[in-house]
Amino acid sequence: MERKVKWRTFWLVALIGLSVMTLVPSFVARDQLPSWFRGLFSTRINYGLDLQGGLHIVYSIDLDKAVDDKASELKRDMEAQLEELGMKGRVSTPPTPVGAVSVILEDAKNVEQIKSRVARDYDEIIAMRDCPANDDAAKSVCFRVSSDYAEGIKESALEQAIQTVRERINERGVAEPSVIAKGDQIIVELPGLDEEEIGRVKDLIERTAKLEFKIVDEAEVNGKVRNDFMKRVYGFAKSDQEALDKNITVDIDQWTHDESGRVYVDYYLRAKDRRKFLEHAEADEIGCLDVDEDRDPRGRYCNVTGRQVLLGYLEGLGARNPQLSLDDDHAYGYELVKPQDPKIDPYWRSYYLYRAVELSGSAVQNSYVYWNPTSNKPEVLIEFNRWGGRRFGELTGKSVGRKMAIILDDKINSAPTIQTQIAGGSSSISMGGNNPQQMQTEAQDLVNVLRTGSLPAPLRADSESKVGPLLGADAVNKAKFAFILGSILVVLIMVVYYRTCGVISVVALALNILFMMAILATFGATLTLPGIAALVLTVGMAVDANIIIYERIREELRSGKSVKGSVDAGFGRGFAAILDGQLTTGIAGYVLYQFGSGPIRGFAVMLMIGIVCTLFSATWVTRLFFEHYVGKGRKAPTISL
Amino acid sequence: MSETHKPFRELVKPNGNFEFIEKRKTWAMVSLIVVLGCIAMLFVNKSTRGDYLNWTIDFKGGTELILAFENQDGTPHPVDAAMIRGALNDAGKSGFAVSNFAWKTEGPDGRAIEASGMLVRTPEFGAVKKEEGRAIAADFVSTFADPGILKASWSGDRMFVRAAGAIDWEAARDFFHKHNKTLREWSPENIEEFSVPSEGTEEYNLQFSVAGLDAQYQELIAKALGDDVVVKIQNVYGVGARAGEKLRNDGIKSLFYVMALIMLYLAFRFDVRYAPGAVVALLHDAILVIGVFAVTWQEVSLTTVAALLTVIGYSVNDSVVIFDRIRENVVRLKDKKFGRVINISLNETMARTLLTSITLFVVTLMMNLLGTGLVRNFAFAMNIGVVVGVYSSVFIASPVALAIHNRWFSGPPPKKK
Repeated sequence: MERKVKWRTFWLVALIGLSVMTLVPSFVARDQLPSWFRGLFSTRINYGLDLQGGLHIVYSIDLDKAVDDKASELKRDMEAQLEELGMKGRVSTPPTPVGAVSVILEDAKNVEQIKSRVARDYDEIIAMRDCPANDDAAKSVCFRVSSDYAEGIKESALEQAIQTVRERINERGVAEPSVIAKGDQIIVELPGLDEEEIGRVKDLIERTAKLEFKIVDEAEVNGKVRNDFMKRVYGFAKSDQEALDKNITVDIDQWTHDESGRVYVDYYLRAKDRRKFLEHAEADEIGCLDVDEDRDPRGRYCNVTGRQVLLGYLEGLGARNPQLSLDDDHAYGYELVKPQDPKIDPYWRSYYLYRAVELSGSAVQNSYVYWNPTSNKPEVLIEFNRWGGRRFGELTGKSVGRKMAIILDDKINSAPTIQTQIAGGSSSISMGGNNPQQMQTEAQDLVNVLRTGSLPAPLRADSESKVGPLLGADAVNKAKFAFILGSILVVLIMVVYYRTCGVISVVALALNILFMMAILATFGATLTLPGIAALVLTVGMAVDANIIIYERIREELRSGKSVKGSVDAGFGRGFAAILDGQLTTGIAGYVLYQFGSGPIRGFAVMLMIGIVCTLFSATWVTRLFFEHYVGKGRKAPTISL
Repeated sequence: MSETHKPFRELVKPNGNFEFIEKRKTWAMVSLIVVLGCIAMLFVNKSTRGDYLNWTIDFKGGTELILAFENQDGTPHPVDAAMIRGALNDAGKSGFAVSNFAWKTEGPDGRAIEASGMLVRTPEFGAVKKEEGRAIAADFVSTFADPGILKASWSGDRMFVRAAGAIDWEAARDFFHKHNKTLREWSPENIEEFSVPSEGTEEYNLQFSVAGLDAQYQELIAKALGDDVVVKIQNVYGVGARAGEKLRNDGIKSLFYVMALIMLYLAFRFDVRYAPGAVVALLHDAILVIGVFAVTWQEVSLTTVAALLTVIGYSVNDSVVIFDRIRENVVRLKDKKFGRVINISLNETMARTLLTSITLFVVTLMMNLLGTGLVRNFAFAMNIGVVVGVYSSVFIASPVALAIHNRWFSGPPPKKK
């Protein structure tokens, strides 16, 4: 028993030590800590937007707008068809229902032909509808963008939007941005921005993504030089001090066209993302936002993506060496490469592209992942619309063997090799690699990109809050004061009522709060104003467990039991009631966590953490204190309760 | 006895034998009347104040702005709410509410001062209303007939335009200015993107985004106050109508789930006799808290819902500790009737019930007195919840358990003709 108590005391002291250490990064500036310490304890308590100020927007996809656009595209397509067929008539897009298209022909006998054409060309993306009853009804064909198609696009658009928004924001170096999906909404939280920057960020987020197809201009084919520009850049950067400083490395890309056996060689640069301290002017240039409350005159920390590193380097090359300046027909493109080997960090690589946009998102009708039974690998199928299919046929015809970059939002998503001319209006892209899981994910990503690009659906704010840091600070001060005063009162009640045992419970309560904060820091959870309310609430509720035990001990003492026996009985019998009581509050916390958002979620998290800590500190920790107070070692015949 | 301890400091005497159970019908009647009164109050509000409860924009949709007014030197500039109201009225705004809002802040000299602020609430959310947007789009099509507009449509505060030719930003700015909207500047990428047609279709895809509602109000008010006063936006909180609806549904759903889960837990942990008692008690508490919000016309926000759920959790917590004792005593006092056992258990746990409620009441009272906004609203609900929670766990939960026991678990109910 004695040994056990010693061990338990040891563990408690260790736990307290660990908790204090965990909290250090939250209260001490990062650069004041030794590096070994930073490695061990790095996570810190995050302050919610309501405390530190910032932007919180809930977005949803404006599908109506996208469907409306699709209808306009169908209208354009139908007009072209009528002209081709030599039929007279007009096409309109009535405002209701959303996505409606009406083809009104001059000659009623053409109706059947148009109907079958529509059914053939747009089978999956439209649904026929009844024409409005008027004079034109007999010579009209009416349909609308189908809701199944729209819903399918919506899912892809949502996933893609989260990724795009995240990337757009990361490029801006905002510290700790949070972009998460909740149902069919996207919640964006950006701490600590000023008015002007909020405007810029919102603009960035609400922009629709743009899909483009461009051809890669490689350096060599079968050993013959085609365009040695990138080879020169490669040669220059290989031994350039600036490139070395920026951690830019060079590499060679090589692929074979299966049918002809031609070997293509391309040269490129690569760089990784990093966090860097930049001077303000430099930071402004790459669009890194200033999120620091107190402006450091020397500069600020920014996330610099590999793409920004490469972009800055390559664009500066022209000035340093005229031979290496980009001509008007070419442009650089950048791709984030995630190597299959998880040990290798993702990096950005450059592409040397023809500037001309060969095809854009509006050429794509739809896209799917499908499993190719022959190769037993997932592939991405792209369906083009009439115009797009024709254009794609021409493009692939003249570029067999080369790479085609698929670019969403100025970022190359993938650059597959064109194996044959594709004239059928649909094309399939096979995935590289051997890991089926990863291939499936990549295929789905590409489909998301293509679908999003084919039907750009803007994000529309459902709710929005901007919090200035001043009000938050005032609220925190008041909440802190309430916390302190409330705690003092609880301490008084406990100590006056339970004497020494009351003191024990107060110490346990203090440890309870310490553990709560430590857990908060360990998980990097967010402390919000309602979270502080939950902390205050926990102070009020945590002593309940002590009260239950103490009242029980008193009852046992009244019945004439010894101190030791009473304490044992109090802890033993009290536990069930404590557990039940805390768990029911926990249920409320859990449901709140599931349904709540933003600050309310912070409340729920804190409430649940509070329950876990209360159970621990009010039973295990208090019990340990009692072992020391009335334990065997000291034959305590009395108790101050 | 005094060998082991000094006399206890006691809130209630041990071995007290207050009759909770005998008069249970009286208590039930009192509660029923109060509950019905609370529900009636909702309808009274509906007919006299226009709505059941004082919903905030969380549930109704709308925007809440907190503005600060400063002189050029950074000192607070006191502003009259009536004047702001007048300015907004003149600008054709309606349905808004303006009230003073002060908080402590740091003055230009570093000392703590009281900031001069104003809280403006409006039922609007976006900068462009639906019909207004349609009218602007139609006007845009006719204004820019040269180069020709194929389509102009809004999404939020942003107008998407497909045009046959390029439109320059200055022309668009003047157009939007005519409609009292401020066009946001294009970024260099925007300018590049909007100045070239998309290949294939040869159309220009343009986007015009106008300054949000907050900027609109800021400008309106700043104009009314003149150049000497700096109007700063401190906080903006806006909820769209659709989001409001979703939040409301989530709130109702969460109340339902909490009750279902708690009932399940109690049925599993104790037995079916206890669960309904606790649930009746928590319903009683929830209705009473809502009733107080109805009577006092306090704001009901998402935080209030959070407080309500916490009150429910606490109410059950209170009942459960008593149930736990009843369960223990049923085994110990086999010879006694269930009603007696309950009464003994209630008396035994009385000290705990009161003391816990006092500590919780004290901390929430501090938050209520010292906190601001959300915290205060939360604490107010908790204060009421703690009081009614104690009452209901003693006078409602246990008697209901007894009633269920008598009705279904002990043969025919006794002493009934």
